[in-house]
Amino acid sequence: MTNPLRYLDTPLRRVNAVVVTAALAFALVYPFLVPPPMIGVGFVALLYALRNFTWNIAGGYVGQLSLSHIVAFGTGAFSVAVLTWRHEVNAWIALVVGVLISAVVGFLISLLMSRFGVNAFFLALGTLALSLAAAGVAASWTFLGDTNGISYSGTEEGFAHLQWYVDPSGFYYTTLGFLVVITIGIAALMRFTHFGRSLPFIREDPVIAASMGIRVVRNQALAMALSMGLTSIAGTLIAQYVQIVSYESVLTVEIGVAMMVGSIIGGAGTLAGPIVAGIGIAVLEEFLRSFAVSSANVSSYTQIAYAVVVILLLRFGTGGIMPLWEAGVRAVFGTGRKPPAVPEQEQRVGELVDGRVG
Amino acid sequence: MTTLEVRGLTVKRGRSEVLHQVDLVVREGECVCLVGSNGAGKTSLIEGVLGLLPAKATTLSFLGRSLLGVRPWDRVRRGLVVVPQNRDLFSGMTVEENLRLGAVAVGDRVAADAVLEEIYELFPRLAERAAQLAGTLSGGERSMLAIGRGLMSRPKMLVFDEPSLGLAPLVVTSIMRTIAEINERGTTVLLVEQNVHQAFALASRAYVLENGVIAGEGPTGELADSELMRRGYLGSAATGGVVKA
Amino acid sequence: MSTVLQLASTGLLQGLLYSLIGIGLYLVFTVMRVVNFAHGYFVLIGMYGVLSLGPKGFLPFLGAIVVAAAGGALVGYLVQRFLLESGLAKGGHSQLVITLSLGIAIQYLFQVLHPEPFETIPNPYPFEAFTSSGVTISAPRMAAGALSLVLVLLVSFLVYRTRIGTIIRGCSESLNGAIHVGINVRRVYRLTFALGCGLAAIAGGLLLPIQPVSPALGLELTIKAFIVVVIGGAGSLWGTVAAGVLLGLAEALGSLYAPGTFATALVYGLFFLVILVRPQGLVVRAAARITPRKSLTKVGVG
Repeated sequence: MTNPLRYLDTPLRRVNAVVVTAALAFALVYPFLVPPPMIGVGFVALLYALRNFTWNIAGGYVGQLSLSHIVAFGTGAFSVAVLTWRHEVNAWIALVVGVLISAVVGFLISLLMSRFGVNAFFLALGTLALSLAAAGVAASWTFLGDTNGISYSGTEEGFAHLQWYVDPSGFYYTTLGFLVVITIGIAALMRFTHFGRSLPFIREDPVIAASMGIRVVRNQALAMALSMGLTSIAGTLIAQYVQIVSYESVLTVEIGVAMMVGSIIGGAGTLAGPIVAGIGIAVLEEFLRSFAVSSANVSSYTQIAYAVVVILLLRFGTGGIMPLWEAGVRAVFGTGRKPPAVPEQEQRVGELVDGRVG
Repeated sequence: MTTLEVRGLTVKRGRSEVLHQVDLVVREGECVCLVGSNGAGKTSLIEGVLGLLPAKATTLSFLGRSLLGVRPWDRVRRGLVVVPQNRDLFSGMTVEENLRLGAVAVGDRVAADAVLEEIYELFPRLAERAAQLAGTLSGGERSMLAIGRGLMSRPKMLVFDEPSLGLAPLVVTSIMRTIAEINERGTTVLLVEQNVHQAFALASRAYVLENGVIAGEGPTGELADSELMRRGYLGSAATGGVVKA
Repeated sequence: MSTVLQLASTGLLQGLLYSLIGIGLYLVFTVMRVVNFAHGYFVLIGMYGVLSLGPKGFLPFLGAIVVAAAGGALVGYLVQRFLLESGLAKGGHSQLVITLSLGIAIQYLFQVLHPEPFETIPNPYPFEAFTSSGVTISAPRMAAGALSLVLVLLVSFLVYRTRIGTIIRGCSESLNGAIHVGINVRRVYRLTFALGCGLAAIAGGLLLPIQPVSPALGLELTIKAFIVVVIGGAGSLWGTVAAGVLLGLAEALGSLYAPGTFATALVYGLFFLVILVRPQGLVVRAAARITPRKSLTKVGVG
């Protein structure tokens, strides 16, 4: 790749570049513009964005509609709870441990599913069953705090310990950092590595992909490992922030479904889609809270809203927020030169979720 | 009296257009055939006429009534019955259940028992295997069952989609003879076939489909001797204009 | 020993109820190839429906169940007609996400409407518990098991001995074939889905006096319905019944050895293994057929 600016050859890309730069700039100064509670909201928004994005690696790019990512999320949370809060291991080490465990689990799940030739429905069903099993185990296992969970204990603060007690800015910027690095990393992976470029082919038609010489089973498993491993990071971050972890807070099916649904609403094959959707939901939640809706009902209403939106989206065949955005920009600015075919960005959700597994 | 009238039929499969401006007419009592090689668009034509594929046409009418906008099953109920290439039998059900299902949608019009007897008379092999599961039948028997099922509703027109496909030559001859008999007994027939010899032997008129357009049409006798057929009809796109016999 | 007998009896009766729940899902699964992730939530509709009607007495209770079942069937019809139908035509797995999201929407709707967890109704039946040979069965449990069995028999009669049942079976065997014989497959799909949901709602009504209702129950019931369908149903309804009873027994007897959520976790874990291994019969056939039907994109039915 020579001149990066040559990438900006269509109106869509130019508009996107402008928007992304503006958004990033805004994100960087946001904590200075708002009171501390809103910084916390910003952190949560970025967290939702992060975990949607990491789900999407396996779910959107490869088409593995997994409901097991919640296990990764929970692993990240419990990892820091057990290792750092109980045994005073450094939080970053705990984070890495969580990532590794989740990656291995993800790898194994995908491998197992492929080995047994499971199709998409059984993948969803099986991963759902696994997540429920994991939650059940956590609820009964005192090592994981059974029904009460594990509470925070510790005194250190600062980036080295991944903990800030009063000012959420630390969490905010750390999460933003993770989000930016992971997004850029994945984008580069998808564009420049053979592995990354193979994923949309696997999603579209595993048989043809195999005949092209792509190692389908291995790549699916690697993608799942990557996806789940990175999801674990979000779990670690939220655990440190909330300072209590239990099966009810980090191993629920609702969160697992929210990751999937959020990505689909945003546009499952796209880079920005899951991020936009994640932030959007956080904003919606905050909006509802501002109307003095009781907090129990806030989560109910957002869940219902999520569900209604994704149902309508799938029913009426639009691809999600990002494809709509792209269509809108193209309508306003024209298509310019024909962009190189990047399959994942052209996909409509209906065709996207068409991808079969195994 | 025109049974099926098609003018300007264009059919799409996904995003590609597989049939372009096709005109076709079948009159009452006729036996008309449509020939073409693999990929010419024969099945697409049938699916377009039946409404299983999105189709646009200037005219698409059956027995004088337009089919446009009519649901596929309602087209079938009007008497336009297709014996599909895949046979599409109810494999887990018996031969007799398959046959009876052929009349289930028009049950009030047709006395199923009486028709069943006729079918068994036409296909003694089916009578023998009445209680056998359709999935366990041989290729020829499956073809027979599919035809028998189609006949159960006393169709106004029977469309055969490659009845000879995958069958041994002797069986093919037998099936073709049966189709001829069905036509003689009064059912209008549209036979869609790759096997030109068999089709021409049966039909009085023929259409030739090539790459989604009608490349030739006319009485089978004349068409058989034509330039089109003499070329060996390999189905390539080398054709010039339409050859009318 | 009487504990085992007690548990076995309870498990058997509970299992029959699971069979009823499973039958509805099975019908939808085999006929339409739809995996209704919201099925357990239709049971919930039945439970909350009867709860809201607050029947006092046996006949009002039955009436409430009928009303709730009709409501469930109507919702099912609407879901199929307006949400799922066009998605089926496109193929793919939109119905997976749609039904999953629908379930969640239903769950949280009930969460908002009925914030109190664990609501139930007192015994509506005109008799009290049965006791014999050291085993005591409460009236609602007895009735639920018996009525479930009756309903399964009725469904079996419908599917195997009536004209409409033959039509339904035809659609499940070959959708194309059904169209080629003039069956209005769209209507059959809507009917089947409504029937499946209605049966689920009835099961919910029967379940209410036995098990207190909470919105979260929907997911658990959905999973149990799937367990019943995947393990059982080797081509016939009765496999589903057997699987339901098996599940009920396993659950009841399992509680002897593994208390609390660990037992449920074990069940889910086993289910995961079953999905991997997948016994022959229905599951293999259905799995082979759970591919988008690309030849029928414009029929509007899938």
